[in-house]
Amino acid sequence: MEWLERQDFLMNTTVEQKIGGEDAAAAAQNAVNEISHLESLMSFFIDSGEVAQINRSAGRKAVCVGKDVMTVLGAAIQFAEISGGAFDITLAPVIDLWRRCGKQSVLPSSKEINTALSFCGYHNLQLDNENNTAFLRGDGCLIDLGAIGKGYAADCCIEIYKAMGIQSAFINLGGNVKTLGNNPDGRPWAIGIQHPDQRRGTFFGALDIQDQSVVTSGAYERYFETGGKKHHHIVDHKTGRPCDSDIKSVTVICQSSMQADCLSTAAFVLGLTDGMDLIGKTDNTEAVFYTENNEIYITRNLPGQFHLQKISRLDCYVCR
Amino acid sequence: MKIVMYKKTIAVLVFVLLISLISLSGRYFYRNAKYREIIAGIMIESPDLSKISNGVYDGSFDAIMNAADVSVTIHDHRITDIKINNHKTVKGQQAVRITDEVLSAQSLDVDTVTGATKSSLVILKAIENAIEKGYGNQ
Repeated sequence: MEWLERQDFLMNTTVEQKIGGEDAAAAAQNAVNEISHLESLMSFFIDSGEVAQINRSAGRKAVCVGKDVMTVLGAAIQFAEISGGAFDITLAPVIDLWRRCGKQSVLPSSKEINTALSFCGYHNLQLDNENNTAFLRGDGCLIDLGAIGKGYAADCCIEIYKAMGIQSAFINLGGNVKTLGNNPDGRPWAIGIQHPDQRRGTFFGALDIQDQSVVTSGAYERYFETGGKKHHHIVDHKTGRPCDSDIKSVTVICQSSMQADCLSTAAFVLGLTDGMDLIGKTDNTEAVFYTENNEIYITRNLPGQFHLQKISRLDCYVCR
Repeated sequence: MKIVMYKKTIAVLVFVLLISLISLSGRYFYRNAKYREIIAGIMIESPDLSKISNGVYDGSFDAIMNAADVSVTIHDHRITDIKINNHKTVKGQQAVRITDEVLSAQSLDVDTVTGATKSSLVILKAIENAIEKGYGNQ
């Protein structure tokens, strides 16, 4: 079987594809087209998109949206409920505040944070599934699909591959991975987990993945430094500040990439104990937590699939 | 005599090894520091595409430890494609420790790596450099 490897820059990150089969090139191009299309609909920054329209119309009127955005918004509300708000797309006013401040390497004031927080809360997002509309109830409310969009895009791309008869592939949107079938050796795809403290590409362990998605949340890629401290990009819904997590990264494994994307964000905010609880409550979902103390905790069904790099000399625990 | 010679050889070898390790790690730390300096100094501007005619423009950016080569396609004053040509980069609930035999592998070969969303100022800078070539074509 011939294999195609391709790298593009989409959704503000590197998108890597490896596809086996005759139609690999066409499949890869279709996937790129789909990701571009979804980005144009869902990006916080693209004025002509549906998310931007929803944000501009906040407090004024409901906006008609297509099937993709409707699906993502519906799922986003469900995950907000399941995670007690730890995952919440309506945290956008706070996320945007920190983003703007981060560009100038300044910290937002408590007043600015509290004001932004007052516009947050997933109860502000009203969806009408009959008329396919979305409405943000308050002027000043905003949504940002950054923590769910790549997962949804990965799911869509795998469906595109399948529809074209592809049986073996993976797609990696900046670290958000989903696989189809087996790798060139005829075995489950081997997905390394980035070491939070070491240079990109160095992994502390690997997972054997078959037709599943693997998504990681961590504070070590996107942050700004000021006052001698790093301020990362994952906001705590309770404080309006970058969350003070007891974990450096968490990797979630399940069939749906959209779910893995949401739960990894939520678990990172919640920390080890509550994060483990959340994963435990979710069917057919496993996780790997890397703590601030450089220990690894994995969920109980994972040992057969997870391999630790011996050289990493890390302690690994299974929660029973 | 032989034992003295043997000990001397070992001493020289150890000395050479130590010097190599020190200079290699020194080189690594220097390059890393330079890389961090470059990354910290990167500023990304929003380019004005209205002045750029249709075409494919190549750009690159080198930050020592990380580099990118991109091809940016511009059509009707919009970016329609970006190709990367080359990129060098509980308190548990009764937690039980797993023994090495069950888990670990001597060396792991992986197909790809999952991680927090990759952020690449290096790629963004390469894209900006590609677009700037479009100004040069006017």
